[in-house]
Amino acid sequence: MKEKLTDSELIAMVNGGNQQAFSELMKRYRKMVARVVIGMLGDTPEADDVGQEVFVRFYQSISSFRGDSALGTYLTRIAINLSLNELNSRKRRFLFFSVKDDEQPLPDLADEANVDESLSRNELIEKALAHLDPKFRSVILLRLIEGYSTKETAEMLGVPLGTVLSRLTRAQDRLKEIVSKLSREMVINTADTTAKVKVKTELK
Amino acid sequence: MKSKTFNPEKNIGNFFENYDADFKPFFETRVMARIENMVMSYQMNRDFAFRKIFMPALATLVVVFVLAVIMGQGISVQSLMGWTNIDMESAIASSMGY
Repeated sequence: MKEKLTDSELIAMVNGGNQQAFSELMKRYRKMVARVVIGMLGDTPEADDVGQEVFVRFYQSISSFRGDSALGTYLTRIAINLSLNELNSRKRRFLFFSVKDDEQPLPDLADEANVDESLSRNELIEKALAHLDPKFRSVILLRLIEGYSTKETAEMLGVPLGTVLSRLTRAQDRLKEIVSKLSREMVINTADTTAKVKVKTELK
Repeated sequence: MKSKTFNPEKNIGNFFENYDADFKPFFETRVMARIENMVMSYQMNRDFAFRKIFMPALATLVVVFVLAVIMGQGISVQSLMGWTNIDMESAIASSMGY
């Protein structure tokens, strides 16, 4: 395929029946959609399904895509809406079993089973996001991760500007708390692993 | 590890720098397969509707058309619908039982 075709050119090609062009669009926006969907749902099989659904919906509506907004914004909107739908149906499914899906309790630091030995930055972010209420999570994802403006975030989520700002402040406060706790876990764990290795070496 | 030096109290925005996530391998292939299935099932439904609805309807129309021509009534909406030419006066009379 020719180098660097614009999104509009690729969309026109898809409308003309070129499936290869659609694959190219997917390659361009796959990671962006993944960040939104995995950020919202965690790295789960459902996230992959929702990601696929985002592109299938886009394919179905591609002929009516007028390009009023950027393609990235359009796909993010679909991704966030489908993720919120999935979270709602997940909530309904586990209504009788879960403590409260949106505000998961933080793992106990003393509980060794909860402590992951090698938590990467990405995993840490996903873990931290999972502890947030979905309405806060979506604001963090759009504002801080995807870098949309407050106005764009408000439009995408269908909430007033003030709500986005207050959710952002609350989400940031909660995140600081969560991340501090998770980071401490990591430090404790790293220290613990080092100590274990040292003991093992000494025993040998 | 990066997180050791990260201070969440200072700036939580920096925490998300370089956040990267991706779907499982062969994601594009799975999506394209779903789209192809969707297109195929759409075509199958369209073919089914054509065979079961459109073709019988067309055949019926042709039969009615041919019958109308053979019976010498010509082709008109009335002949196709099986109406006969009756004037208003006789219609009123027959409805009143005369």
